[in-house]
Amino acid sequence: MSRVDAKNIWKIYAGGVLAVKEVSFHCEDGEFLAILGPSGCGKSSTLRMIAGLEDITKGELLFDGKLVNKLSPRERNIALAFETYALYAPLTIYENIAFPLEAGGMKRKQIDEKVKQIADMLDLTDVLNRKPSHLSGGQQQRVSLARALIREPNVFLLDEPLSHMDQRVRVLLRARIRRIHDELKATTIYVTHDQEEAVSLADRIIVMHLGEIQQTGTVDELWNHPKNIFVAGFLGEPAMNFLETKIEKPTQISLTTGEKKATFELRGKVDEKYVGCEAILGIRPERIVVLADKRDEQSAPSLVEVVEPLGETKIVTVKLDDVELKVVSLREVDTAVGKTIYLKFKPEDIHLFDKQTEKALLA
Amino acid sequence: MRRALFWFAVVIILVGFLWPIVWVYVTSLKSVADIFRPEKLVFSPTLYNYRYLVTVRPSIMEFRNALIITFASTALVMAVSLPAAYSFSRFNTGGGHLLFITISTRMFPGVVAALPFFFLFRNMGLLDTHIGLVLLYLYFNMSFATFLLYGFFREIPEELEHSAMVDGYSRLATFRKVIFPLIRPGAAVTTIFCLIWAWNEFFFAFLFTRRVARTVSVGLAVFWGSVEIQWGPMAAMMSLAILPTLAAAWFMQRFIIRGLTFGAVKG
Repeated sequence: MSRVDAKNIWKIYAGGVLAVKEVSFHCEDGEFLAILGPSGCGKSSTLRMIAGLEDITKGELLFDGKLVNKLSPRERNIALAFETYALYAPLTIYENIAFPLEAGGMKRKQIDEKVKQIADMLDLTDVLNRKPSHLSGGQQQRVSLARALIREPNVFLLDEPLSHMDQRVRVLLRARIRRIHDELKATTIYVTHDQEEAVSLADRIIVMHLGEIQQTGTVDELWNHPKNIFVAGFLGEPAMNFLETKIEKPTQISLTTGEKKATFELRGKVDEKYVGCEAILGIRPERIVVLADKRDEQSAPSLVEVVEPLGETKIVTVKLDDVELKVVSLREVDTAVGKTIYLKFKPEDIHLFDKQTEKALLA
Repeated sequence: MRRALFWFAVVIILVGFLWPIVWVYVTSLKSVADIFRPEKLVFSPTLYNYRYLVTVRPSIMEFRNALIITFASTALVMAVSLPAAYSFSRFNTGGGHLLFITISTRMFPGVVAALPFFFLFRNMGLLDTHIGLVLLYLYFNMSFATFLLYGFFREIPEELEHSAMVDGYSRLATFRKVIFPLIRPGAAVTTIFCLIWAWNEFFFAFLFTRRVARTVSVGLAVFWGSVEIQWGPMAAMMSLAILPTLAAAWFMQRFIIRGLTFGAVKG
């Protein structure tokens, strides 16, 4: 297994379309790295450049410190599992899995052993003699994983491998992918648009948007210290709420609702120069404290509009002035539609962003 | 009632399609005297007309010419069109313009090309030669074949190739091991279309050949003389001329369904 370093990588397609802009990251030997972003953010282009299926316009790609920019996919010894599985329809499952080994000219007996072993690991033993079209989506994806795994590659690349499955299979396979990674200690780069997948699988996550890396870090880092509004809003379901606010003091902000003004303390200090400026307040729906009545100055009144019960919790949509907020609260909290409830934001849960640059103001 | 209507329609269509063929075969077996008495349903069949094609007016050369030209041109067409279509579908060669130009050669009437080609071929000494017709058929079939194959290639997901390349195959080996098995039905359909077209082609064969390279389709017209129409021998030669196309159609039917619906490779 290898360590992967990407240094200032650019991808500009013919016609001047900029897909990836100065992307730098590394993936440790044996690490599980996720590249997360909405469609068109350049994550697949990045993956395809690592695989060698696309030329790198500018920048350096290193495997174990060795430059691989000019190497063909086969020379890079990587494995790639595709979103669409890309199984070879005329071949049986056995032949599909054995395909990469045959390319390497391995002995028949050895191939047979390895295929059986990997099939066993992925519960495919019963379907080895069938054709791909006779398999369910989950099975086909497992075949594509088996085909990628059988070669003991330097790097294991997964391009949205679960996006075509239903929710139940997805959760099942997710656990399996992580287990395989842990067993093989495989350096894995996993591309997805599904934040839940990235969060549950990866050691570290790279968030991409518009061809640029927005932030790289562990789940905790991304979750607690998002560097900008995009990262803050992309992670979490329901997404983080954003409100316009005014910075009163380096440690205090205020919300104006109607004639009333609610003030909130911050967990840290903002630069003096921002005092008096407008800013964007971000708060996660799970972190808003709901009060039935106004207890102190540090709460804002809001009107309950919609309630979506989720069992133990519920998502409450409230209106604070003209802004809609989502609040996740416990089942037993009284949030009847039409009722006014009071929202309290605790200092440690408040994120603050610059209105123009959208960058985080608090460390 | 609906069933009756259905079968009625089937019969009408079958008669419409089959009657001319039946007529040709029946006529080819009739003696000169019987040909002009269609009311006589029972006649004693004779091979006189077929013997005529061998002894009186030998036609074997025309069949030989047609076979050579048909197969040679189709082989060349496939040799050019397969890689061309592959490159159009994968690398967008020529940015779409080249593909359009290729296809556009089929959009104007053949007559338009006939004159320039005629003078060109006359100057190059290609008139009434096998190679001349082969080149012409290559020109006309190539565009059609490229277009058809382009569609077939487009249906094969690119991921399959990428996957094979990542698995350690070169592009050529990938084409051979992954793409070719999938393109085979489409290639078969295309080949057969080219074969049939080249075999049946009349206009250019008529203009560009005299004796040496004359093909079956032109040979058939020769029975249409200024004095009389030799129905018997003509029908006999027609009977033989349509055999290859019938065989091709029969062979093609098992491919054509798969060939035209084989988008299901993704699974």
